[in-house]
Amino acid sequence: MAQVEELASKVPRLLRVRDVDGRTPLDYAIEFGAEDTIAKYKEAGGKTGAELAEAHEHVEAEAAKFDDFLSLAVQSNEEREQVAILLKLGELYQESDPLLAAKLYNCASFMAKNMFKLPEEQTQANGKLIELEAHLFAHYGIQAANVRLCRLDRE
Amino acid sequence: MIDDGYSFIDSISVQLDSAKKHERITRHQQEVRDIRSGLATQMAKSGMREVQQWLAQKVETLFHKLVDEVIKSFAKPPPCAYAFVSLGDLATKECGPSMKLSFMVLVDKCSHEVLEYFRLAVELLHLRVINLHETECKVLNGRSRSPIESGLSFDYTGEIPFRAGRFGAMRLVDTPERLARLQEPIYFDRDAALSFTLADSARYLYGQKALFDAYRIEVNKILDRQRGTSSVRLRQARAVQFLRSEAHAWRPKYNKEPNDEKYVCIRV
Repeated sequence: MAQVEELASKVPRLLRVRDVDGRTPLDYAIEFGAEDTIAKYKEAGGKTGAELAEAHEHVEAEAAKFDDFLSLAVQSNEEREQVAILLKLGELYQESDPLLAAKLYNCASFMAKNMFKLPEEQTQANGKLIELEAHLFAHYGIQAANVRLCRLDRE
Repeated sequence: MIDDGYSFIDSISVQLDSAKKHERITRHQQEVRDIRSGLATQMAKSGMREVQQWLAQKVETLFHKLVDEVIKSFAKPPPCAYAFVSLGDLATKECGPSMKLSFMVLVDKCSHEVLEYFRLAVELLHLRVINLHETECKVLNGRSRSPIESGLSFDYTGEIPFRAGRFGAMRLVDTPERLARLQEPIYFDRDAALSFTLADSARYLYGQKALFDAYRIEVNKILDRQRGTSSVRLRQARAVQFLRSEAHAWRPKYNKEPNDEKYVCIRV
């Protein structure tokens, strides 16, 4: 667990997504024999430059395995699971690529509405889409219309 | 901090109009569905050219509405005069059922503040187009089929502001004079398709029309320029060059054994 936490501090995104059983990509990396990767990363911990970059590449390769896992899950027959994974993927990309996140949320919303009839998940996806607009405004530091401003508490 | 004593980050948490936003998304999705159902009726009673024009008109109206909503979603008006200009099929009214959107933005001054404003405006517009439920998402780099079929969406291979193109990022948000400069031979030689689209397939969509008129004047000024001592204008030389390249690309290929190769060289 300590290894996982250490890696998570270096590559936070690896711990931000969980499957339906609550397992993270790193849990999978460990299970499928990624001890070498983790050891290399530990060796490089605290250093900068080529070693760290190399270790980072290894961890990214493990993340690609996670993508494969998600790919299988997307093809799952469990309808609720497919929508949940798309929503999780959207969360994963929300910071780095909000428009990709929007596409993923839209897929989740579309599937929940038109394919599986899951109103709860559809509401969840729509809520996230609405949040995205505010997120974009905040990212650029530009004020949106119809926003009530709050005075900061100053000490 | 956007105003003295106020935090914008704190303020977004108290947005009160999420129900209204959701209603707006649903309304636009319904409008696209109406266009799709109307398309079938049009195809049954009109010729292809009329159908294309009808479709372009409908898409343009919707696009105009989306741009208007985006501009109004800002608390402050744009920092300068601007005009949205549609490009490609939408501008030439040759819209197909896939309905891809490409456009550029003319501004009367170009500064960091202006670019940041329109970068956000383009992203918000993109978000609203994605919300129409017609932008496909290649889940996991195409390893899984998109649940949404591709339809009315941004043209990811065409002209969109700030898109990464073959020769670096295309900004396509600039003053009329500077965007008209993309007709100069140095740019034409690099990306002829872009120059052609920006010259021939551009139509005013939203904002100050005077900027678009200024753009047309600048473009015509460059294209009507005579080359050196020759009396041939740049646009004429360009047309001949284009015809030559097309004639070469589509040249017939006659072989001794006709079944060995294709008769016509098809570009891929």
